[in-house]
Amino acid sequence: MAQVIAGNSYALEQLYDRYARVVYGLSLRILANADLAEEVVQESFWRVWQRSATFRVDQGHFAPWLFGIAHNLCIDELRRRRSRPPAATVHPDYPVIMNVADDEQDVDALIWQAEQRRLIRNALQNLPDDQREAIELAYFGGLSQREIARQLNNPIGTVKTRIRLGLQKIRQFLHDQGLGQEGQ
Amino acid sequence: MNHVDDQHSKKQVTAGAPDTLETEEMRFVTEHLKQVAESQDELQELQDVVALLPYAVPPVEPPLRTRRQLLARIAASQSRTAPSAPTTHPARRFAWLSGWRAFVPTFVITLLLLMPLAVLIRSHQLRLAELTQVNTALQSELAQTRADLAQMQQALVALNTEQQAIETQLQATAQEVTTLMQLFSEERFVFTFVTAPGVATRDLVAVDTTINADGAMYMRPGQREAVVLFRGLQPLPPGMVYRFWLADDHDQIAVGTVTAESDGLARLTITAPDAINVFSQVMLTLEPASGGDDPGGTVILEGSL
Repeated sequence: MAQVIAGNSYALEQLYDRYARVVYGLSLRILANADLAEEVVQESFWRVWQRSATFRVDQGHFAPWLFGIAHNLCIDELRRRRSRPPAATVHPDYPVIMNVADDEQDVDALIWQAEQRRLIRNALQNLPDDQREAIELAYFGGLSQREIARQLNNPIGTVKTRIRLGLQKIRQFLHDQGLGQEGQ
Repeated sequence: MNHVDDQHSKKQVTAGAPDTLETEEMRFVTEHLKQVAESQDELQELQDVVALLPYAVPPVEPPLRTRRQLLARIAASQSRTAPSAPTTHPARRFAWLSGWRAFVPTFVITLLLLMPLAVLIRSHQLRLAELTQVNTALQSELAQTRADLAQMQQALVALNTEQQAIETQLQATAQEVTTLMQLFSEERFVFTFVTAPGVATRDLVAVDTTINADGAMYMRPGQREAVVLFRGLQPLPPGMVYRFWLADDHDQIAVGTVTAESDGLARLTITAPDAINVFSQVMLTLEPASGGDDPGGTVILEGSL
Protein backbone atom coordinates (compact mmCIF):
# COMPACT_ATOMS: atom_id res chain seq x y z
CA MET A 1 0.00 0.00 0.00
CA ALA A 2 2.95 2.27 0.65
CA GLN A 3 3.93 1.81 -2.98
CA VAL A 4 0.46 2.83 -4.07
CA ILE A 5 0.72 5.93 -1.93
CA ALA A 6 4.02 6.64 -3.69
CA GLY A 7 2.22 6.56 -7.02
CA ASN A 8 3.24 3.10 -8.12
CA SER A 9 0.43 1.89 -10.33
CA TYR A 10 1.96 -1.57 -10.54
CA ALA A 11 1.47 -1.92 -6.78
CA LEU A 12 -2.19 -1.08 -7.29
CA GLU A 13 -2.36 -3.77 -9.96
CA GLN A 14 -1.07 -6.26 -7.44
CA LEU A 15 -3.71 -5.21 -4.93
CA TYR A 16 -6.32 -5.47 -7.65
CA ASP A 17 -5.22 -8.99 -8.53
CA ARG A 18 -5.41 -9.94 -4.86
CA TYR A 19 -8.76 -8.40 -3.84
CA ALA A 20 -10.79 -7.72 -7.00
CA ARG A 21 -12.43 -11.14 -6.87
CA VAL A 22 -13.66 -10.52 -3.32
CA VAL A 23 -14.89 -7.03 -4.18
CA TYR A 24 -16.63 -8.25 -7.32
CA GLY A 25 -18.24 -11.14 -5.47
CA LEU A 26 -19.42 -8.80 -2.73
CA SER A 27 -20.78 -6.31 -5.26
CA LEU A 28 -22.58 -9.03 -7.19
CA ARG A 29 -24.03 -10.31 -3.97
CA ILE A 30 -25.37 -6.93 -2.93
CA LEU A 31 -26.36 -5.45 -6.29
CA ALA A 32 -27.27 -8.64 -8.20
CA ASN A 33 -26.20 -6.86 -11.34
CA ALA A 34 -22.97 -7.68 -13.19
CA ASP A 35 -22.59 -4.28 -14.90
CA LEU A 36 -23.09 -2.37 -11.67
CA ALA A 37 -20.76 -4.76 -9.85
CA GLU A 38 -18.05 -4.08 -12.44
CA GLU A 39 -18.51 -0.37 -11.94
CA VAL A 40 -18.19 -0.78 -8.17
CA VAL A 41 -14.95 -2.77 -8.58
CA GLN A 42 -13.43 -0.18 -10.87
CA GLU A 43 -14.63 2.75 -8.78
CA SER A 44 -13.40 1.17 -5.53
CA PHE A 45 -9.84 0.72 -6.79
CA TRP A 46 -9.96 4.11 -8.47
CA ARG A 47 -10.78 5.69 -5.12
CA VAL A 48 -8.00 3.69 -3.50
CA TRP A 49 -5.64 5.13 -6.12
CA GLN A 50 -6.93 8.66 -5.70
CA ARG A 51 -7.29 8.66 -1.93
CA SER A 52 -4.26 6.56 -1.10
CA ALA A 53 -2.64 9.56 0.57
CA THR A 54 -5.39 9.53 3.21
CA PHE A 55 -4.68 5.92 4.13
CA ARG A 56 -2.78 5.51 7.42
CA VAL A 57 -0.37 2.66 6.83
CA ASP A 58 0.69 2.55 10.46
CA GLN A 59 -2.83 2.38 11.82
CA GLY A 60 -5.04 0.66 9.33
CA HIS A 61 -5.24 -2.34 7.12
CA PHE A 62 -5.91 -2.25 3.43
CA ALA A 63 -8.54 -4.94 3.02
CA PRO A 64 -11.07 -3.49 5.51
CA TRP A 65 -10.52 -0.08 3.96
CA LEU A 66 -11.10 -1.36 0.44
CA PHE A 67 -14.09 -3.45 1.45
CA GLY A 68 -15.55 -0.49 3.29
CA ILE A 69 -15.26 1.64 0.14
CA ALA A 70 -16.83 -1.07 -2.02
CA HIS A 71 -19.59 -1.73 0.51
CA ASN A 72 -20.45 1.95 0.77
CA LEU A 73 -20.60 2.21 -3.04
CA CYS A 74 -22.94 -0.75 -3.18
CA ILE A 75 -25.18 0.61 -0.45
CA ASP A 76 -25.24 4.02 -2.11
CA GLU A 77 -26.27 2.38 -5.37
CA LEU A 78 -28.98 0.39 -3.64
CA ARG A 79 -30.36 3.46 -1.96
CA ARG A 80 -30.05 5.50 -5.11
CA ARG A 81 -32.21 3.25 -7.17
CA ARG A 82 -34.44 2.63 -4.13
CA SER A 83 -34.95 -0.97 -4.92
CA ARG A 84 -33.76 -3.72 -2.71
CA PRO A 85 -32.50 -7.15 -3.71
CA PRO A 86 -34.07 -10.19 -2.10
CA ALA A 87 -33.07 -10.93 1.44
CA ALA A 88 -29.59 -12.31 1.80
CA THR A 89 -30.66 -15.60 3.25
CA VAL A 90 -32.91 -16.40 0.31
CA HIS A 91 -30.80 -14.97 -2.52
CA PRO A 92 -30.92 -17.62 -5.28
CA ASP A 93 -27.66 -16.84 -7.00
CA TYR A 94 -25.43 -15.69 -4.15
CA PRO A 95 -26.14 -17.56 -0.94
CA VAL A 96 -23.90 -16.27 1.76
CA ILE A 97 -23.03 -19.58 3.31
CA MET A 98 -21.98 -21.97 0.66
CA ASN A 99 -19.03 -24.09 -0.15
CA VAL A 100 -18.00 -22.95 -3.60
CA ALA A 101 -14.79 -24.28 -5.09
CA ASP A 102 -12.15 -21.61 -5.24
CA ASP A 103 -10.10 -21.34 -8.41
CA GLU A 104 -7.61 -18.88 -7.02
CA GLN A 105 -4.26 -18.81 -8.72
CA ASP A 106 -2.43 -16.26 -6.58
CA VAL A 107 -1.04 -18.57 -3.96
CA ASP A 108 0.10 -17.04 -0.70
CA ALA A 109 -2.26 -14.16 -0.14
CA LEU A 110 -5.21 -15.99 -1.60
CA ILE A 111 -4.66 -19.06 0.56
CA TRP A 112 -4.96 -16.71 3.51
CA GLN A 113 -8.08 -15.22 2.01
CA ALA A 114 -9.52 -18.68 1.56
CA GLU A 115 -8.84 -19.47 5.18
CA GLN A 116 -10.52 -16.26 6.28
CA ARG A 117 -13.43 -17.11 4.03
CA ARG A 118 -13.75 -20.55 5.57
CA LEU A 119 -13.67 -19.15 9.07
CA ILE A 120 -16.16 -16.36 8.50
CA ARG A 121 -18.52 -18.77 6.78
CA ASN A 122 -18.28 -21.13 9.69
CA ALA A 123 -18.78 -18.26 12.06
CA LEU A 124 -21.93 -17.16 10.26
CA GLN A 125 -23.15 -20.73 10.03
CA ASN A 126 -22.80 -21.14 13.77
CA LEU A 127 -24.98 -18.12 14.49
CA PRO A 128 -28.63 -18.48 15.38
CA ASP A 129 -30.77 -17.91 12.32
CA ASP A 130 -32.33 -14.69 13.55
CA GLN A 131 -28.96 -13.11 14.30
CA ARG A 132 -27.46 -14.23 10.99
CA GLU A 133 -30.50 -12.96 9.12
CA ALA A 134 -30.31 -9.56 10.78
CA ILE A 135 -26.61 -9.20 10.00
CA GLU A 136 -27.02 -10.26 6.38
CA LEU A 137 -29.98 -7.97 5.80
CA ALA A 138 -27.93 -5.14 7.24
CA TYR A 139 -24.68 -5.78 5.49
CA PHE A 140 -25.63 -7.45 2.22
CA GLY A 141 -29.14 -6.10 1.95
CA GLY A 142 -28.19 -2.52 2.70
CA LEU A 143 -31.13 -2.09 5.05
CA SER A 144 -31.13 0.19 8.04
CA GLN A 145 -32.05 -1.19 11.45
CA ARG A 146 -35.44 0.40 11.18
CA GLU A 147 -36.01 -1.15 7.75
CA ILE A 148 -34.90 -4.53 9.07
CA ALA A 149 -37.26 -4.23 11.95
CA ARG A 150 -40.08 -3.37 9.60
CA GLN A 151 -39.25 -6.22 7.26
CA LEU A 152 -38.95 -8.78 10.05
CA ASN A 153 -41.86 -7.29 11.96
CA ASN A 154 -39.72 -7.03 15.09
CA PRO A 155 -39.02 -4.13 17.42
CA ILE A 156 -36.00 -2.16 16.43
CA GLY A 157 -34.46 -2.87 19.81
CA THR A 158 -34.62 -6.56 19.04
CA VAL A 159 -32.86 -5.99 15.72
CA LYS A 160 -30.13 -4.02 17.42
CA THR A 161 -29.64 -6.77 19.99
CA ARG A 162 -29.49 -9.51 17.35
CA ILE A 163 -26.94 -7.65 15.31
CA ARG A 164 -24.79 -6.86 18.31
CA LEU A 165 -24.91 -10.36 19.68
CA GLY A 166 -24.26 -11.87 16.27
CA LEU A 167 -21.19 -9.77 15.70
CA GLN A 168 -19.89 -10.51 19.17
CA LYS A 169 -20.25 -14.23 18.56
CA ILE A 170 -18.47 -14.00 15.27
CA ARG A 171 -15.67 -12.08 16.92
CA GLN A 172 -15.37 -14.68 19.64
CA PHE A 173 -15.48 -17.53 17.15
CA LEU A 174 -12.73 -16.01 15.06
CA HIS A 175 -10.71 -15.32 18.17
CA ASP A 176 -11.09 -18.93 19.25
CA GLN A 177 -9.97 -20.08 15.81
CA GLY A 178 -6.80 -18.03 16.10
CA LEU A 179 -7.83 -15.40 13.61
CA GLY A 180 -7.17 -11.88 14.76
CA GLN A 181 -9.54 -9.12 14.43
CA GLU A 182 -8.73 -8.06 10.95
CA GLY A 183 -8.84 -9.46 7.54
CA GLN A 184 -5.55 -8.18 6.38
CA MET B 1 -25.45 9.44 32.06
CA ASN B 2 -27.00 6.69 34.27
CA HIS B 3 -26.53 2.93 33.87
CA VAL B 4 -29.64 2.38 31.78
CA ASP B 5 -28.71 5.14 29.41
CA ASP B 6 -25.22 3.83 29.22
CA GLN B 7 -26.36 0.29 28.29
CA HIS B 8 -28.72 1.71 25.68
CA SER B 9 -25.97 3.81 24.21
CA LYS B 10 -23.58 0.90 24.16
CA LYS B 11 -26.12 -1.26 22.32
CA GLN B 12 -26.77 1.53 19.93
CA VAL B 13 -23.11 1.99 19.25
CA THR B 14 -22.09 -1.63 18.82
CA ALA B 15 -25.17 -2.56 16.82
CA GLY B 16 -24.32 0.26 14.49
CA ALA B 17 -21.15 -1.42 13.36
CA PRO B 18 -22.57 -2.57 9.99
CA ASP B 19 -23.29 1.11 9.14
CA THR B 20 -26.97 0.59 9.69
CA LEU B 21 -27.61 3.63 11.87
CA GLU B 22 -29.85 6.31 10.56
CA THR B 23 -28.99 9.98 10.85
CA GLU B 24 -30.44 10.63 14.30
CA GLU B 25 -28.94 7.45 15.65
CA MET B 26 -25.55 8.26 14.18
CA ARG B 27 -25.59 11.68 15.87
CA PHE B 28 -26.35 10.00 19.17
CA VAL B 29 -23.60 7.44 18.71
CA THR B 30 -21.04 10.06 17.78
CA GLU B 31 -21.86 12.06 20.87
CA HIS B 32 -21.67 8.96 22.99
CA LEU B 33 -18.31 7.89 21.59
CA LYS B 34 -16.78 11.08 22.77
CA GLN B 35 -17.49 10.03 26.34
CA VAL B 36 -17.25 6.27 26.49
CA ALA B 37 -13.87 4.73 25.66
CA GLU B 38 -15.18 1.21 26.26
CA SER B 39 -17.80 1.64 23.59
CA GLN B 40 -15.17 2.91 21.20
CA ASP B 41 -13.11 -0.22 21.68
CA GLU B 42 -16.04 -2.55 21.21
CA LEU B 43 -17.19 -0.66 18.17
CA GLN B 44 -13.76 -1.00 16.66
CA GLU B 45 -13.71 -4.72 17.34
CA LEU B 46 -17.10 -5.25 15.79
CA GLN B 47 -16.20 -3.09 12.82
CA ASP B 48 -13.23 -5.37 12.33
CA VAL B 49 -15.61 -8.32 12.30
CA VAL B 50 -17.81 -6.55 9.79
CA ALA B 51 -14.75 -5.95 7.63
CA LEU B 52 -14.43 -9.72 7.29
CA LEU B 53 -17.98 -10.24 6.09
CA PRO B 54 -17.09 -9.82 2.38
CA TYR B 55 -15.17 -13.08 2.68
CA ALA B 56 -18.44 -14.84 3.35
CA VAL B 57 -19.38 -14.23 -0.28
CA PRO B 58 -17.90 -16.54 -2.94
CA PRO B 59 -15.25 -14.60 -4.83
CA VAL B 60 -15.93 -14.04 -8.52
CA GLU B 61 -13.40 -13.15 -11.16
CA PRO B 62 -14.37 -9.79 -12.67
CA PRO B 63 -14.18 -9.37 -16.45
CA LEU B 64 -10.76 -8.47 -17.80
CA ARG B 65 -12.12 -5.24 -19.23
CA THR B 66 -12.69 -3.97 -15.70
CA ARG B 67 -8.96 -4.25 -15.02
CA ARG B 68 -8.07 -2.70 -18.40
CA GLN B 69 -10.43 0.19 -17.92
CA LEU B 70 -9.12 0.83 -14.43
CA LEU B 71 -5.50 0.80 -15.60
CA ALA B 72 -6.33 3.04 -18.54
CA ARG B 73 -8.03 5.42 -16.17
CA ILE B 74 -5.00 5.45 -13.91
CA ALA B 75 -2.62 5.83 -16.85
CA ALA B 76 -4.67 8.76 -18.11
CA SER B 77 -4.50 10.39 -14.71
CA GLN B 78 -0.76 9.80 -14.55
CA SER B 79 -0.27 11.34 -17.98
CA ARG B 80 -2.09 14.43 -16.76
CA THR B 81 -0.08 14.66 -13.55
CA ALA B 82 3.30 13.32 -14.73
CA PRO B 83 6.04 13.48 -13.63
CA SER B 84 4.71 13.97 -10.10
CA ALA B 85 3.55 10.34 -9.85
CA PRO B 86 6.58 8.19 -10.61
CA THR B 87 6.22 4.46 -11.13
CA THR B 88 8.79 1.75 -10.57
CA HIS B 89 7.31 -1.05 -12.66
CA PRO B 90 9.17 -1.33 -15.96
CA ALA B 91 6.03 -2.17 -17.85
CA ARG B 92 4.45 1.00 -16.55
CA ARG B 93 7.20 3.39 -17.49
CA PHE B 94 5.38 3.91 -20.74
CA ALA B 95 1.97 4.06 -19.19
CA TRP B 96 1.41 7.47 -20.77
CA LEU B 97 1.21 5.59 -24.03
CA SER B 98 -1.94 3.83 -22.90
CA GLY B 99 -3.96 6.84 -23.95
CA TRP B 100 -3.17 5.86 -27.47
CA ARG B 101 -4.43 2.35 -26.93
CA ALA B 102 -7.90 3.45 -27.90
CA PHE B 103 -6.58 4.33 -31.34
CA VAL B 104 -4.74 1.07 -31.85
CA PRO B 105 -7.74 -0.95 -33.17
CA THR B 106 -8.66 1.85 -35.56
CA PHE B 107 -5.06 2.16 -36.62
CA VAL B 108 -4.74 -1.59 -37.12
CA ILE B 109 -7.98 -1.79 -39.11
CA THR B 110 -6.95 1.18 -41.22
CA LEU B 111 -3.54 -0.38 -41.72
CA LEU B 112 -5.11 -3.69 -42.73
CA LEU B 113 -7.34 -1.88 -45.23
CA LEU B 114 -4.52 0.22 -46.63
CA MET B 115 -1.95 -2.55 -46.88
CA PRO B 116 -3.58 -4.38 -49.85
CA LEU B 117 -4.11 -1.01 -51.56
CA ALA B 118 -0.49 -0.05 -50.96
CA VAL B 119 0.65 -3.42 -52.24
CA LEU B 120 -1.55 -3.00 -55.33
CA ILE B 121 -0.23 0.51 -55.97
CA ARG B 122 3.35 -0.68 -55.48
CA SER B 123 2.72 -3.59 -57.84
CA HIS B 124 1.31 -1.24 -60.46
CA GLN B 125 4.24 1.11 -60.01
CA LEU B 126 6.67 -1.73 -60.54
CA ARG B 127 4.65 -2.92 -63.56
CA LEU B 128 4.59 0.63 -64.95
CA ALA B 129 8.35 0.96 -64.50
CA GLU B 130 8.83 -2.38 -66.19
CA LEU B 131 6.58 -1.39 -69.10
CA THR B 132 8.39 1.94 -69.39
CA GLN B 133 11.69 0.12 -69.67
CA VAL B 134 10.24 -2.23 -72.26
CA ASN B 135 8.77 0.72 -74.17
CA THR B 136 12.13 2.51 -74.14
CA ALA B 137 13.87 -0.62 -75.39
CA LEU B 138 11.26 -1.06 -78.12
CA GLN B 139 11.58 2.56 -79.21
CA SER B 140 15.36 2.17 -79.38
CA GLU B 141 14.95 -1.00 -81.42
CA LEU B 142 12.43 0.76 -83.67
CA ALA B 143 14.84 3.64 -84.31
CA GLN B 144 17.63 1.18 -85.05
CA THR B 145 15.34 -0.76 -87.38
CA ARG B 146 14.37 2.44 -89.20
CA ALA B 147 18.06 3.35 -89.62
CA ASP B 148 18.79 -0.15 -90.90
CA LEU B 149 15.84 0.11 -93.28
CA ALA B 150 17.13 3.44 -94.66
CA GLN B 151 20.56 1.91 -95.17
CA MET B 152 19.00 -1.09 -96.86
CA GLN B 153 16.94 1.20 -99.11
CA GLN B 154 20.09 3.09 -100.09
CA ALA B 155 21.88 -0.18 -100.73
CA LEU B 156 18.91 -1.36 -102.78
CA VAL B 157 19.03 1.80 -104.90
CA ALA B 158 22.76 1.27 -105.40
CA LEU B 159 22.13 -2.35 -106.30
CA ASN B 160 19.42 -1.33 -108.78
CA THR B 161 21.79 1.17 -110.37
CA GLU B 162 24.54 -1.41 -110.46
CA GLN B 163 22.10 -3.96 -111.86
CA GLN B 164 21.06 -1.54 -114.60
CA ALA B 165 24.72 -0.91 -115.43
CA ILE B 166 25.38 -4.65 -115.49
CA GLU B 167 22.33 -5.20 -117.67
CA THR B 168 23.52 -2.49 -120.02
CA GLN B 169 26.99 -4.01 -120.09
CA LEU B 170 25.45 -7.43 -120.54
CA GLN B 171 23.42 -6.16 -123.50
CA ALA B 172 26.57 -4.63 -125.00
CA THR B 173 28.46 -7.82 -124.39
CA ALA B 174 25.64 -9.81 -125.94
CA GLN B 175 25.76 -7.49 -128.92
CA GLU B 176 29.52 -7.98 -129.20
CA VAL B 177 29.05 -11.72 -128.91
CA THR B 178 26.46 -11.56 -131.67
CA THR B 179 28.83 -9.56 -133.81
CA LEU B 180 31.67 -11.91 -133.03
CA MET B 181 29.45 -14.87 -133.84
CA GLN B 182 28.60 -13.26 -137.18
CA LEU B 183 32.27 -12.61 -137.84
CA PHE B 184 33.06 -16.11 -136.77
CA SER B 185 30.37 -17.42 -139.08
CA GLU B 186 31.71 -15.32 -141.94
CA GLU B 187 35.24 -16.38 -141.19
CA ARG B 188 34.20 -19.99 -141.13
CA PHE B 189 32.37 -19.50 -144.43
CA VAL B 190 35.39 -17.84 -145.95
CA PHE B 191 37.67 -20.53 -144.59
CA THR B 192 35.38 -23.27 -145.78
CA PHE B 193 34.99 -21.54 -149.11
CA VAL B 194 38.62 -20.91 -149.86
CA THR B 195 39.74 -24.36 -148.63
CA ALA B 196 37.07 -26.31 -150.47
CA PRO B 197 38.23 -28.54 -153.38
CA GLY B 198 37.82 -27.02 -156.91
CA VAL B 199 38.17 -23.41 -155.82
CA ALA B 200 40.00 -21.23 -158.36
CA THR B 201 42.14 -18.26 -157.30
CA ARG B 202 42.68 -15.05 -159.20
CA ASP B 203 45.16 -12.34 -158.12
CA LEU B 204 44.34 -8.65 -157.90
CA VAL B 205 47.36 -6.38 -158.36
CA ALA B 206 47.96 -2.67 -157.93
CA VAL B 207 47.63 -0.56 -161.09
CA ASP B 208 50.38 1.72 -159.87
CA THR B 209 53.69 0.78 -158.34
CA THR B 210 53.14 3.40 -155.69
CA ILE B 211 50.26 1.39 -154.32
CA ASN B 212 51.50 -1.19 -151.90
CA ALA B 213 48.38 -3.34 -151.88
CA ASP B 214 47.11 -6.54 -153.53
CA GLY B 215 44.29 -9.09 -153.28
CA ALA B 216 43.14 -12.60 -154.14
CA MET B 217 39.73 -13.77 -155.36
CA TYR B 218 38.48 -17.27 -154.60
CA MET B 219 35.72 -18.57 -156.85
CA ARG B 220 34.14 -21.72 -158.28
CA PRO B 221 33.40 -21.89 -161.93
CA GLY B 222 29.69 -21.86 -162.64
CA GLN B 223 28.69 -20.44 -159.23
CA ARG B 224 27.70 -16.89 -158.33
CA GLU B 225 29.49 -16.65 -154.90
CA ALA B 226 33.07 -15.56 -154.51
CA VAL B 227 35.37 -14.34 -151.66
CA VAL B 228 37.92 -11.58 -152.15
CA LEU B 229 40.73 -10.92 -149.64
CA PHE B 230 42.72 -7.65 -149.59
CA ARG B 231 45.87 -6.42 -147.85
CA GLY B 232 47.82 -3.16 -147.76
CA LEU B 233 44.77 -0.96 -148.19
CA GLN B 234 45.29 2.60 -146.95
CA PRO B 235 42.87 4.24 -144.60
CA LEU B 236 40.12 6.02 -146.51
CA PRO B 237 39.70 9.80 -146.48
CA PRO B 238 36.36 11.08 -145.25
CA GLY B 239 33.44 10.56 -147.69
CA MET B 240 35.24 7.94 -149.74
CA VAL B 241 34.78 4.14 -150.02
CA TYR B 242 36.49 1.22 -151.70
CA ARG B 243 34.04 -0.35 -154.25
CA PHE B 244 34.47 -3.74 -155.98
CA TRP B 245 33.37 -4.26 -159.63
CA LEU B 246 32.67 -7.22 -161.94
CA ALA B 247 33.14 -6.42 -165.69
CA ASP B 248 32.82 -8.11 -169.04
CA ASP B 249 33.15 -6.73 -172.48
CA HIS B 250 30.06 -4.56 -172.16
CA ASP B 251 29.19 -3.74 -168.55
CA GLN B 252 30.75 -2.96 -165.17
CA ILE B 253 28.72 -4.01 -162.14
CA ALA B 254 29.38 -2.85 -158.52
CA VAL B 255 28.92 -5.83 -156.20
CA GLY B 256 29.99 -4.34 -152.88
CA THR B 257 32.09 -1.97 -150.85
CA VAL B 258 35.16 -2.88 -148.90
CA THR B 259 35.93 -1.75 -145.34
CA ALA B 260 39.63 -1.97 -144.54
CA GLU B 261 40.85 -2.77 -141.01
CA SER B 262 43.48 -0.63 -139.31
CA ASP B 263 46.13 -3.12 -140.39
CA GLY B 264 45.14 -2.67 -144.05
CA LEU B 265 43.37 -6.10 -144.32
CA ALA B 266 39.85 -6.45 -145.72
CA ARG B 267 37.48 -9.18 -146.92
CA LEU B 268 34.50 -9.15 -149.25
CA THR B 269 32.00 -11.89 -149.98
CA ILE B 270 30.04 -11.29 -153.16
CA THR B 271 27.09 -12.79 -154.88
CA ALA B 272 27.22 -12.01 -158.56
CA PRO B 273 24.10 -11.56 -160.75
CA ASP B 274 25.38 -14.45 -162.90
CA ALA B 275 28.06 -17.13 -162.67
CA ILE B 276 31.42 -15.66 -161.81
CA ASN B 277 33.17 -17.14 -164.78
CA VAL B 278 30.85 -15.18 -167.09
CA PHE B 279 32.76 -12.02 -166.16
CA SER B 280 36.21 -11.34 -167.57
CA GLN B 281 37.69 -8.75 -165.20
CA VAL B 282 37.41 -7.45 -161.60
CA MET B 283 38.68 -4.18 -160.06
CA LEU B 284 38.69 -2.17 -156.78
CA THR B 285 38.20 1.58 -157.11
CA LEU B 286 38.26 4.54 -154.74
CA GLU B 287 34.83 6.22 -155.06
CA PRO B 288 32.78 8.84 -153.30
CA ALA B 289 30.36 7.26 -150.83
CA SER B 290 27.50 8.79 -152.84
CA GLY B 291 28.86 7.45 -156.10
CA GLY B 292 26.65 6.02 -158.89
CA ASP B 293 26.55 2.74 -160.78
CA ASP B 294 29.44 3.57 -163.11
CA PRO B 295 33.00 3.61 -161.91
CA GLY B 296 34.45 7.15 -162.01
CA GLY B 297 37.05 7.07 -159.36
CA THR B 298 40.63 5.94 -159.11
CA VAL B 299 41.34 2.25 -159.84
CA ILE B 300 43.42 0.74 -157.03
CA LEU B 301 43.55 -3.01 -157.89
CA GLU B 302 42.58 -5.02 -160.94
CA GLY B 303 42.62 -8.62 -162.10
CA SER B 304 41.66 -10.89 -164.94
CA LEU B 305 39.29 -13.84 -164.52
